Amino acid sequence: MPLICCVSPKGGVGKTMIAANLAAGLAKNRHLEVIAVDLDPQNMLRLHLGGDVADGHGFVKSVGNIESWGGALKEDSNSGVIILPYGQLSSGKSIKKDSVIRQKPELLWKPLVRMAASPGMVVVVDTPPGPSVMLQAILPHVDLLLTVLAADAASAVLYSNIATGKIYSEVRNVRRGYVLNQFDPMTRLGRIICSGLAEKIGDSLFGIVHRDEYVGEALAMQQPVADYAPLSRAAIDLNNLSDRVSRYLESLT
Amino acid sequence: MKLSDRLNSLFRVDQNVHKIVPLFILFLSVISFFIVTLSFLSAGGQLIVGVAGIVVFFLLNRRKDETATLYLKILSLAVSSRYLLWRMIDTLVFQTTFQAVLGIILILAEAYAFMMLLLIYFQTVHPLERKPAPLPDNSDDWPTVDVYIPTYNEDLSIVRVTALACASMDWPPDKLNVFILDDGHRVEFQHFAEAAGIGYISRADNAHAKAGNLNHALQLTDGELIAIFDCDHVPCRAFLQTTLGWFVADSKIALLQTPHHFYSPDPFQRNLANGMRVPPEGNSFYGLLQPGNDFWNASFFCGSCAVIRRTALLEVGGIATETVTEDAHTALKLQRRGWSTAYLSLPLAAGLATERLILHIGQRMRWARGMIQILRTDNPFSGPGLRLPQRICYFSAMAGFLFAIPRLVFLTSPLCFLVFNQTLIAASPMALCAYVIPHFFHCICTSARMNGSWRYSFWGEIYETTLATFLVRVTLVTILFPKLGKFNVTDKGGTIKQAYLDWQAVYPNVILSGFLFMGMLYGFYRLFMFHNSQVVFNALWLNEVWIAISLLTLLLAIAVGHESRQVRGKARIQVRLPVTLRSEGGRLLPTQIMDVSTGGCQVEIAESTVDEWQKGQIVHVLTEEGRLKGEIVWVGKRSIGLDWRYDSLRHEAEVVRFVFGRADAWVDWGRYPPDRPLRSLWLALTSITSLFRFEKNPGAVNQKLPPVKPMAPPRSLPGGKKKQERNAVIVAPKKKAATFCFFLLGIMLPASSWAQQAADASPVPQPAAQAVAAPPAGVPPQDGEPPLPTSDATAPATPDQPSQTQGLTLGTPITDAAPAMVGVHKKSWTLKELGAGDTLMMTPFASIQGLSFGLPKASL
Repeated sequence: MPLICCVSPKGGVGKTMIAANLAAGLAKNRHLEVIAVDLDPQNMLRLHLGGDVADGHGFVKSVGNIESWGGALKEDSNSGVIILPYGQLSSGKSIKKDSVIRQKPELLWKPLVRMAASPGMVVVVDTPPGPSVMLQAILPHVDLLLTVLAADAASAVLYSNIATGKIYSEVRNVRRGYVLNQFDPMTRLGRIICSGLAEKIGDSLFGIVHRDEYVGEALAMQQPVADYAPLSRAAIDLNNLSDRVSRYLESLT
Repeated sequence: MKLSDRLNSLFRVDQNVHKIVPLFILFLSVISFFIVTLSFLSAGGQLIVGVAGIVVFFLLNRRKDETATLYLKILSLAVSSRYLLWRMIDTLVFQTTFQAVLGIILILAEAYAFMMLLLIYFQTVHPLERKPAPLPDNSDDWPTVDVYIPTYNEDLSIVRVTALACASMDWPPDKLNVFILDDGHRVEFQHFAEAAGIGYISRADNAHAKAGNLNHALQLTDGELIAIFDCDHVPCRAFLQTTLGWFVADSKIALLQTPHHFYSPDPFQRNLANGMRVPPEGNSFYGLLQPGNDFWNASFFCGSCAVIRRTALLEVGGIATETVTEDAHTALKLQRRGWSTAYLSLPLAAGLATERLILHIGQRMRWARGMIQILRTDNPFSGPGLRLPQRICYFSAMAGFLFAIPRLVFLTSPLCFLVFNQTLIAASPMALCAYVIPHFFHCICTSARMNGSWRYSFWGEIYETTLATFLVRVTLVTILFPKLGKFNVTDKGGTIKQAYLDWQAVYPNVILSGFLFMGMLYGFYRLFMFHNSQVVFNALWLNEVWIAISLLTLLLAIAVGHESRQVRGKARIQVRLPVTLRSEGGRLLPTQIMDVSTGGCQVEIAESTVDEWQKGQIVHVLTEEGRLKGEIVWVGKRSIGLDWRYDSLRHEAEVVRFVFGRADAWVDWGRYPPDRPLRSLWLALTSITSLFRFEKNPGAVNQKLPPVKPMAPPRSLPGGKKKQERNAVIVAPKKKAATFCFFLLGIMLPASSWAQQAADASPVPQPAAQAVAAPPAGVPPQDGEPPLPTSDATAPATPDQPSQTQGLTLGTPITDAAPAMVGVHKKSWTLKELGAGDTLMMTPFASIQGLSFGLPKASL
């Protein structure tokens, strides 16, 4: 089964939120076994899924030693997602680990691909914003590259860069999907950007997620949005997104 | 275009229908001949003939096609002419002059009814289902349009809605000019028009009322086409794009009419207990007769929701001013000059129905007066230019307004025997069964089949009876003195605080029913207190039955005048519109609107989110199109009520557009179950309960009546100010290029051009010119596009729209550069798009599948 990777050339667009909620959505609605992997040194993914703030465990410390990854796995009993946190590291150590991966990218992608290979299993990977060693290591092996764009002016540029192959060129077009996040219909600009981008992206647009206070509140409650506020716009948007993704996954097999 | 060509090429007419017309007449005469011969049969034999006719009806009625309808109509006419001949030959008695006069009056009334039956059967031979014609692909070839909104004494709150809706119709803004034609000379109207960028025309005098108002504007504007909306008919966005195709496609078309749809119930629907289960009174005209007229190239102008070609209108000297129904007369004049008219049976505008019976009566008195005026002064059967079917259709429309006198004759005839002992129909019960029952049966059942879901059996009788006593005088006076009469304006929009019986609107019927009731009592007195011969006995109880039916109809007509409470000033439209509700704190909840008006809306909420909403909060309703601001005025268990809040005219226009703009908003106008005569009869009979309905605050009769505004106020300024000197005022509409640009380019351009700015000189694969064209099928993914030089892309606009570049390169797209007015913007729809429901941009939510916009392949 597939390896889904949430990326963004830019920070603050809600990548981690999308990854966490997508994982929860796939686990809940599709009864898939989902592993959410955090490659971002911010180590925030776990917090979206009920993780303990004080818990600093993660796979990065033992990146060369796959067998010890199991100790870092945490299952969120609520959503059923298994989380593999990055772990709490100082920046210096993070950079060191990066250089390890740069030398041997297979240390990262091989275990991930192996996890994804087991039947009924989906791996959702959250990545740090912009170019990173971690992302570069797994990029050639991704089954779905889900680019999260904020519905703002900068995204128009970023989309052009992706569409022309300046970034993420390792992933074929058919394996690219886009999510427009933080769409705010209250602003005229938001609407223009959103409709303009939506038209340009066409079929590759996997979903639009509104800017909704419930999203922030859900994080504060450490719950997926669908659990915290199932009737909210964002919950429905995220649900549509996970439906779309799972349809895509079905088309792969 | 010749009528026969129209039949053959334009429309999917079964070839048989055309050939059938002469056959129709032949068949009719043959059958009539047999009937005359048959009238020498014995009464028993006639009974068998009558039953046979009914059996044939049931056999034919199993087929649902149009040809079967035609045969049924022929059968119905045959049976009715059999009846009429029998009446003339066998049943008239002229023993005294009095009796002769009464008998002839009754037979004339019956002859009139037969004539109308024949005419309407003819009119509805093949109601034309005309579809919208496609506009040219290039919007440069689209015609220029002036939109006229004539107003006289209506409130600004009504007019502004229409004006804003007209200004935001989808049409190239350089080709659309909206004008308020104000005969009320009101300064606030002028200020509103100026603020909204709409044209305002007010003339020095008020000669010839509405017609004069329109003619005055005609001299001042120059659009190729003129769309006319009464100030309370709010068009949807698609009005022009749906209707104007025909003017381009067929240069002989001078006029295109669309239905007048009312989203508020008419007095019959509102005041009768079962009224809402019955189609509105106007449906039979707009759903059946006008499409029927269109087949014969004889659909006519109804004063509003129509488009007229300027050249044609100028050819006949503008809108006709000779009569008070300037609309129909203008159409007649146009057709005399050889112009075609068209009718599109899609409600693309909606208005308020006359909310009180008295106003409805006033309106119909004017129509009757006007139509009879035309009949007298410009009779369609005389004069040049028309083809015979056109003459028949126009005559039918006008003669239809003569119903008042025959109706009254039918109502009161039984009095002649019961009270004055004058036999008007000398026939045995057996003979009556043999002739009258088949006559009624075929009339009712064939009409029911013809009317389908547009008009219910027996309800027409209520409509007519309500008006009859009022129209008698108008009818007589106008027949004798056709030049009399002036225009009056129908008041609309308002509240009725208490239920009350409007004496003004029912007193003649009350008096008449009093007479009938006394006649009935006297009849019973004769029936029981005297020893009657068998003949007299039979006649008495038959007349008692008749008078009971008359009385019942009259009581129903009186019940219509029992005005029920109407609390809301602005009628709510029942809808199911999915929207997202945004709370003050920025939480978004998807939900749907349950009803909506320009005042506010009711929004469904989940019970679990009730705590989220509090009275007085400002919330936003997010639609696919935009956002609307509202204040919560009440919170219920499953829904909350919002009042719209506007900060500017622009917001108000957005509300108007949201409420009235949807092209499919009114597609349900004909969605009533097909007529079943017995059910309709039951609905009518049980509506009598409305007469005895009392509400919590019983409207005491004659007490605290809301004053009815004078229908045709003398020409005085509102407020009774000292009469000012009046001058013509003309304000030209202002163009809002910036706003327009915002809308037009909103779809695609900004993203790409900002991308270019940000990405400096790097080539970006978004050809701007292509973006402007915005092909509806969606631009294919841009991945493989060859990059364009930046210089091209920063000057993206087509040459004739230079302002677009400006708006974009300023780099401040967020600021509301546009003035208050809503963007008059262009969105080009081809018919193909209209046909493909999912690409119909303006109807993001509701399905449009009920509408087929397709054209026959031949004409595409």
